[in-house]
Amino acid sequence: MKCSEYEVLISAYVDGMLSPQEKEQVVSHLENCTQCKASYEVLLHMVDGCRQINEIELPKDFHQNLMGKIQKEQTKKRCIKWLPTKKDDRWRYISAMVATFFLGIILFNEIKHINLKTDTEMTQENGVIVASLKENEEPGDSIHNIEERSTMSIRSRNVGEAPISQIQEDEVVNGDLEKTLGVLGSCKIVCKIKVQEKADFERQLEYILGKEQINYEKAENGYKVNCNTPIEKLVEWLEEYSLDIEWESGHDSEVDDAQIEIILMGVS
Amino acid sequence: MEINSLAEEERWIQDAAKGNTFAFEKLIMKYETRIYNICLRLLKKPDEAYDAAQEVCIKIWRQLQGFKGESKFSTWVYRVTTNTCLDLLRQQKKVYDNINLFEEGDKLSETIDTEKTRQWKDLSSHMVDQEVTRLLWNSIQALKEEYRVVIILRDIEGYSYEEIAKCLSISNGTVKSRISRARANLKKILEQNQELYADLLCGNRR
Ligand SMILES: [Zn+2]
Repeated sequence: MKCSEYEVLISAYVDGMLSPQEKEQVVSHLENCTQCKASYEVLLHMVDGCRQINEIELPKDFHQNLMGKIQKEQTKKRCIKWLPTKKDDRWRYISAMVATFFLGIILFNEIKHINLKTDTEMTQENGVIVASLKENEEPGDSIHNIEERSTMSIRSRNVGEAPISQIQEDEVVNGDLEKTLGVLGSCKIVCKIKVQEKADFERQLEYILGKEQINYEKAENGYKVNCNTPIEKLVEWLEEYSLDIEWESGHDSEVDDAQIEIILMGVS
Repeated sequence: MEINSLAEEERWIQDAAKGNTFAFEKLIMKYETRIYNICLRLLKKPDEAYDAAQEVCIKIWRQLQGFKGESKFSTWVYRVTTNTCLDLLRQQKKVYDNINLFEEGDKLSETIDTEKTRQWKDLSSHMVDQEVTRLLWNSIQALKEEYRVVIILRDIEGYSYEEIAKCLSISNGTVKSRISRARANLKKILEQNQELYADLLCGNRR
């Protein structure tokens, strides 16, 4: 073996990455070859020098800055999570289910119909369904699949659910967190609530806000609540306490912090 | 002790994956300085490194749920860090054409005299000195990118061959030969700086 062929072996030897046989080979060559020995020593010093390049301290505001962003992201995620609450969106969901159900029936009938026919009798417009039927062999199975798929596609149109999974799955390109979240719209949520007695509502609400350590500010006809802390309990309580409640997500993309505006309606 | 701290880290990982920001804070405090340093070394500019390191930490936060523990957590963290930096370098490359100060590849002259070896020993004994470290650091920066990256990962950051292979998506064999070639080129660059480090060795330091 020529000296030049030892180069890679010597480098790996410095890192302790040789097999016992290779190591033996290198050691015995180094004993006999002054050039390679010299080269090896240079390498050792160089690597040693690299190891002594010191670690640089973290900039002072780095950690705080980071945790601020994390907190903000977590808050927004939480906000978006319960955004499709009750009422309004429940109807959207139900109508999606109904649509799926009918689609299922239609497809089922279609397939039954096709089953009765022979292959040659099939019309053009049934082509797609026939194809999937053949692949799956069992008609029952294919109905199930189609139904599942159609449910998924309808559900994914549901405003609340799709974006969350996107935030979690999407990689941040260029760290442009704000832009990613901006697409989802803001996190300003308006809650219009009807209660029996204003004073009692205010007393109880303030008690809950205090207990949950949620920051708030009293407004003219309600409250402005910052949801930088967990707010599930608050939401639950509002739903329970109210005579009538309506949730809306604001479209104000300028809102920086997640916020719920509680507006009292038709107080007696 | 070691086992305890690993178990603790395991708990932080699980809690942070569920959205617990306190657990994440504990966890990231163990790694953020290292992450920043890797970014600083790979990207050179402090402000870019700062932003990149923030981005890496946020990625870790977001992707924690996907971390199933099939590799060591630290390995995964360094992989995210390296990949983020390499992506940024690739984007920059499109903007500025990479300038290589030194030609790559050609085999080192097989004649290395003992004089040079002596100087190297002296150099090494002075390595703690700021100027010398700077010389070495500047020489690393003059390397062609693929060599610069492996020298930083292996010799400065101390990644294992396997970790480098995973980060760069290359085979262990390629890692071995690339490190060897990178070191040979670094040696060459340092040799071209003879005057400078001769000066240093003559006691030109403050
Ligand atoms: Zn030799």
